[in-house]
Amino acid sequence: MAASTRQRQNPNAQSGLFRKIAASAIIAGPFLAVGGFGVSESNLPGWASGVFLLVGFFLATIALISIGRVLPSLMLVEGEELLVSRNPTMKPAFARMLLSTPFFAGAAWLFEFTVVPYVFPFSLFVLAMYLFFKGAMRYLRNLHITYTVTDRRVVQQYRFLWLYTKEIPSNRIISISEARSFFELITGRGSVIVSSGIGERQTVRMEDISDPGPVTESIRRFFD
Amino acid sequence: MIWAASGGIAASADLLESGHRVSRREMLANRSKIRFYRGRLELIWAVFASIFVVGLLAVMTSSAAAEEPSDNSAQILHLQEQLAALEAEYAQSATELEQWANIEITVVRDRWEQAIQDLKAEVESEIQRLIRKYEYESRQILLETRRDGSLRILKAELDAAIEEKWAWFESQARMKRRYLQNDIAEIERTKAFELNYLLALIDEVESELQALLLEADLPIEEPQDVFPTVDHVPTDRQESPVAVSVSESTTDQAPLDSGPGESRWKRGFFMNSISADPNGFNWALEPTALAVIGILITLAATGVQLLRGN
Repeated sequence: MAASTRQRQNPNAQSGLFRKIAASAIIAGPFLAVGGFGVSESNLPGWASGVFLLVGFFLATIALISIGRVLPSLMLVEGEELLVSRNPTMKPAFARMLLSTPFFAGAAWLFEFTVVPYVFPFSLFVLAMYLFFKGAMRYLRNLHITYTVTDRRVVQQYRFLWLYTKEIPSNRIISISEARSFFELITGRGSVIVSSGIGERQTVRMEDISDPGPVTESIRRFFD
Repeated sequence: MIWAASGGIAASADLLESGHRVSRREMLANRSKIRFYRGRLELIWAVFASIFVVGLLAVMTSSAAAEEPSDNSAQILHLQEQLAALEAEYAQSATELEQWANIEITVVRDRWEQAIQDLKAEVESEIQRLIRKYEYESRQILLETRRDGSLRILKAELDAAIEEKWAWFESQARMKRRYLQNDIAEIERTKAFELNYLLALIDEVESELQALLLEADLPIEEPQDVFPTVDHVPTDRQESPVAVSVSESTTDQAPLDSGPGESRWKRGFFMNSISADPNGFNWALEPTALAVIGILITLAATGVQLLRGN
């Protein structure tokens, strides 16, 4: 009987769910708070409050698509054994979001405590927002990417507004490579690249996964 | 083409190899197609980026041309800021000095009043002593133990002595009151000196500001005697509406409405000065609009990553 990877995975996923909700609240919360505050109390224009609320709801919705598990997970066939299932690590995303903080502070300082033209705080603000959204989008994207290794295939799934699956049967794998940059070595991350030929469609790149060693080992077992 | 050119080699290959070549041809074709699409995407991005940069430069150039006195404007803003700081300092100093003077005057007045009271008590005590002496001597006369005086003369001497005592007291009290007035005047002088120093600074900055406004050919506010000098401390100066408006215009750093008689200086996007075209781009971008634009731009730029999944 077919079963989904979700059913086969460790059911102890409450903490992970809580972490996802907390991170999504951090991402969407400020926009919702500013928009709500603008509507209720401050003299923020109505259209601006509306934009803030829309952005907040947009980010929250994207996060909830993953947290609420709207799209179906990978179905395993009868007798197929799930070896590894990973999402990309969120560390780079959080690092980018954290990196935006000093730029936000600088923009606020230039805006509040100086009389320099707006272009200067605006530039810093845009830079900060870019870093923040870059991290946030990476986090949201990573929520929707799943790498799965079973005893029959290696699968990469991107499930957002559409479902995109790339799959390599285990008997077609011709190479496995593990790549780690210096920072990835320091932070315990890395990429595992599985190929069945030349070309993008013939390659599954499991990027930015934490502790890629066991994943590589599980795939290497196919050659035994 | 490469494979067609090497037809000799291809002719000697078996069926499996030819099939393998076909798949490699397809792969090469796909790769070139991917390169082509990637190149086209980069080209589109480059065109958009160029349009954005050119547009930004054009707007900056036109704004700069429309707003000549940028140096003056920066200086004016600096002076306005300085003026606001001085006025705030003046208001605070006036309050603090008023409190200090009230306390000092109360202390001085209490001290001198106490001195006068002490003097009066001393005089009254002296007069009581004289009266007791008179009563004793008058009893002696009545008992005829003293024959060298009469009651009438004794009473006259007593009255003269009392009158002399009170006269002395009045002169001493007058002197002490004069000292009191001098001390109070000294306190007021100290207070006025401190405030006059700040007023001189304010006048200097205001003169400089008006000269710059004249030089820039901009409307000047009607000079008002916001801070009249100086003989007594104006306690309600910080509540002057004009002072408040000036202070707000420079410390809040928010764009002001360009009403008649109000300062039309605004904090612009590219520069801080009054715009030749008040409806121009420089003033169209308020902080709220800028924040929203920044958020939307960055959201759109990074949202592509989410849509592509890469």
